[in-house]
Amino acid sequence: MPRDHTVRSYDHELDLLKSKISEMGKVAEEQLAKAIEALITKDSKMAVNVICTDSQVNDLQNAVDRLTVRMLAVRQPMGSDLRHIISALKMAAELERIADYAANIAKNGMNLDHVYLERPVRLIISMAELAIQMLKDVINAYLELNVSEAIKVWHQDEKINQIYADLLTQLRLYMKADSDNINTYTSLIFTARCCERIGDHIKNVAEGVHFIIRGDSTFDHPMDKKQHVG
Amino acid sequence: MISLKSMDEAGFIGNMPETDTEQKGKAAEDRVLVDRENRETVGEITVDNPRMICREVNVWYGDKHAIKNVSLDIGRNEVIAMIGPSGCGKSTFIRCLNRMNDTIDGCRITGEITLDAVNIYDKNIDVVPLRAQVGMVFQKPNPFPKSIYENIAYGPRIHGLSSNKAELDEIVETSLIKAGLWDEVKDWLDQPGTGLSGGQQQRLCIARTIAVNPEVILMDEPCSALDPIATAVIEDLIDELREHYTIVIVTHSMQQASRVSQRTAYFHLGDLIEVGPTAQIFTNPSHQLTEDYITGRFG
Repeated sequence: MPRDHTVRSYDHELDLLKSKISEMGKVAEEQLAKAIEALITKDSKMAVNVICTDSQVNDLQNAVDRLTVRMLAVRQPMGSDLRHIISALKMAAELERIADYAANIAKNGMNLDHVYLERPVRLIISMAELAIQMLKDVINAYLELNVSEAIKVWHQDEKINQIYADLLTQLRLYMKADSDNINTYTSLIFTARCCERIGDHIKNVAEGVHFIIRGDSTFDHPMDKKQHVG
Repeated sequence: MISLKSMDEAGFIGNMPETDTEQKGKAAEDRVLVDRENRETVGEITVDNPRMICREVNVWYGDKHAIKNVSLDIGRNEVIAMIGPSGCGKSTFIRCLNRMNDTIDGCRITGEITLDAVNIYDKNIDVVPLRAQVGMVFQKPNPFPKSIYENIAYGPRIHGLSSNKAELDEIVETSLIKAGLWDEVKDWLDQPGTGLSGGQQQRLCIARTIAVNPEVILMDEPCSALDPIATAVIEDLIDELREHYTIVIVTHSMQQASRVSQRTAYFHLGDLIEVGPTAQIFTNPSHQLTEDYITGRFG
């Protein structure tokens, strides 16, 4: 078990960094959930709310940037602290992008309310739900430094990609049959694409967690494969 | 400053994590650090074609067991840094490398240390030439209370390295050039060495060490009495000197160790706990004690 630092304020800064990343994860998760809900309920007010609160995540990212730059300069971190700070910096950027995509989903959702699109929307919802769970899990893996949880999340992105591929196939058929509504279908593709990208960014966060714990972000280890089964 | 090439050797480039997650075969085992209780050396103690080989070295100061069974190779043209908390044995260890411990009463050394395959503790070894071959630079610059010229010329003269004044002049000039001091002192060679600034005095001491053709230079906290600019000049010099010499440096500054060395050895209570490429030691050490020390969680 790691001991506390001799300099206690260093521990406080690392705790602060952890709480900022965790908060970013939570806000990004809420943004995504609200964006999807706005899509389902066709609630444009909620969509506008998601777009407007995006700046909250940006502010958090700025706070993480300032804190990490300060810690690098003042603490000159080494070993696992160095890996933690570098990963936090990168993870904050990933989480910020996830929130951006949530805002994009909200923006697009407002164009989707004139056609009956139950099946594709249902697929998008399942992508988003997976992403929300992955986001929760990856932040927990980070807070608890649980490498097998991070690995599990990393592999789950595959499911999102699969749904995305199915959705594209479906939408291509719709577009051939119903070319009058091409704009709506493109919007749907765009929304699905946002979910697919969110999965990729969560995967990067999982790599960050892996790097903090193991010192590299290589996931293709036989043991890792065993762990993600089930 | 440290070159890209040496960064590569230190593992800064080679050890970068794979971004291609599809790559087969190369991956981490579950990362568990070696327990604090484990006192066996972790990491590769040997190098190809070593300059010095130390095997099962033990040092006692009276009853105090200061170095415990330490084995380590010192490579050619490498800078190896010794780090660890005060009293860990790092200075004691480097003092074994040119038999400086012989001068201490009650000091007993066992084990084997070779320089170019010759046992330096053999009873036929004369320590005077040995200490020229394995030179030493100390924490506090200690020029002789003589002129700059005499500070450099003294060693080559007593070791018989020059037969006339012209040769001696040349040794003085080349040594000062190699130590990066020539341009600053060439017009003042007859002035006392003690009149130079701290950083210049330290470079004078390095020039004095170089003047007797060493193979290895031991540096015991060479920058701890210097300001950051003088420190940077010495660090730059260390990087250049590596081309011709092997350098063993003891430093309390981990940043300095990480900047100047290719390999780092971590000592704790007389044990060599871990040795490895510098980048690995400072970013991803294998022993919990090393991790504790470099991250400031000591004790």
